[in-house]
Amino acid sequence: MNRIFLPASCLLDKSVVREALRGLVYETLGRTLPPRQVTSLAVMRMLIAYGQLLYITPELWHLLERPAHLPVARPFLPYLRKLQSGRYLKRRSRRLTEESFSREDAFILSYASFGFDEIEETVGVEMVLTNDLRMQARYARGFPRITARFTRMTRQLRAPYREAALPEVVSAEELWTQLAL
Amino acid sequence: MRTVVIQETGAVVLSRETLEESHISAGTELVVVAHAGQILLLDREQIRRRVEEIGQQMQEVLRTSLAREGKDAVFAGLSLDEYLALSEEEDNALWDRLFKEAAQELKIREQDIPAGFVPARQKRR
Repeated sequence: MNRIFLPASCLLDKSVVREALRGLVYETLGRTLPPRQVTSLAVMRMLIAYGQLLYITPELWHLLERPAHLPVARPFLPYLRKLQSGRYLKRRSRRLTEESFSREDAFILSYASFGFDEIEETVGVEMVLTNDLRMQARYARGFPRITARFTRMTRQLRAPYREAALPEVVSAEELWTQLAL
Repeated sequence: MRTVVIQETGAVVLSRETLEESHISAGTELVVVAHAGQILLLDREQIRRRVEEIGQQMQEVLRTSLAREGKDAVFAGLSLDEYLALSEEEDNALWDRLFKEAAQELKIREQDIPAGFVPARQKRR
């Protein structure tokens, strides 16, 4: 038996989607894939095979569904879901930029706590999947302070915002190590 | 639905009916997915096959997409050759620009989340 760690819901950041899209083009044309593209594509497929929910932000969805990007993005869209922006998303994002996260990273992390899925009736996701190792390291280093500020913020809020949680931030490489069959 | 009791050793004995219904037989290698209050046993070979199927489906959609829309403009106005020729840095910079544009076009409009919604980690499917 093999025991694996499997998140039920995962927010993919731009870097993972970018690598996976490019990886699929390489693979389909029979070319050799660079390692990060192999990993991003493989992890996405594995999570889909396990029936897990793969989310992206509305901004990334908007990028992918543009007619100029559809030829390459089309194979992925049926497997992705768009998180909606919940209240307090911007406030949370401002807090994270104060922790030295870039605006984009701050929004990704905020969606992971205050984005929502109308179909599943859930708030946030369990995991942010990224290839941005600097963002991951910054999150890990600052985690005690980030947690403290997050707790101070959410305990003043009403349900369901009060129950919002921080995600794990995991690299595609780390998750692939766990999931590879 | 049936119930089983985990033995002191951690062993779980599944009934013949359970195995027949799941089409999983003795000797099959299983992947164990464990979460709080939940243990899933999945046929490793079936997961492998599903991954392959998903890969083939994605490739098929991409082939059809490229055949229908041509290879002159496959992504952000780039031809297929130009897209593939992008270096890591160029691809990164292109996506940074596209993402910034998309974010500017799409103003974030926060919505109230209904009170009954629960954190994703509390609701496992």
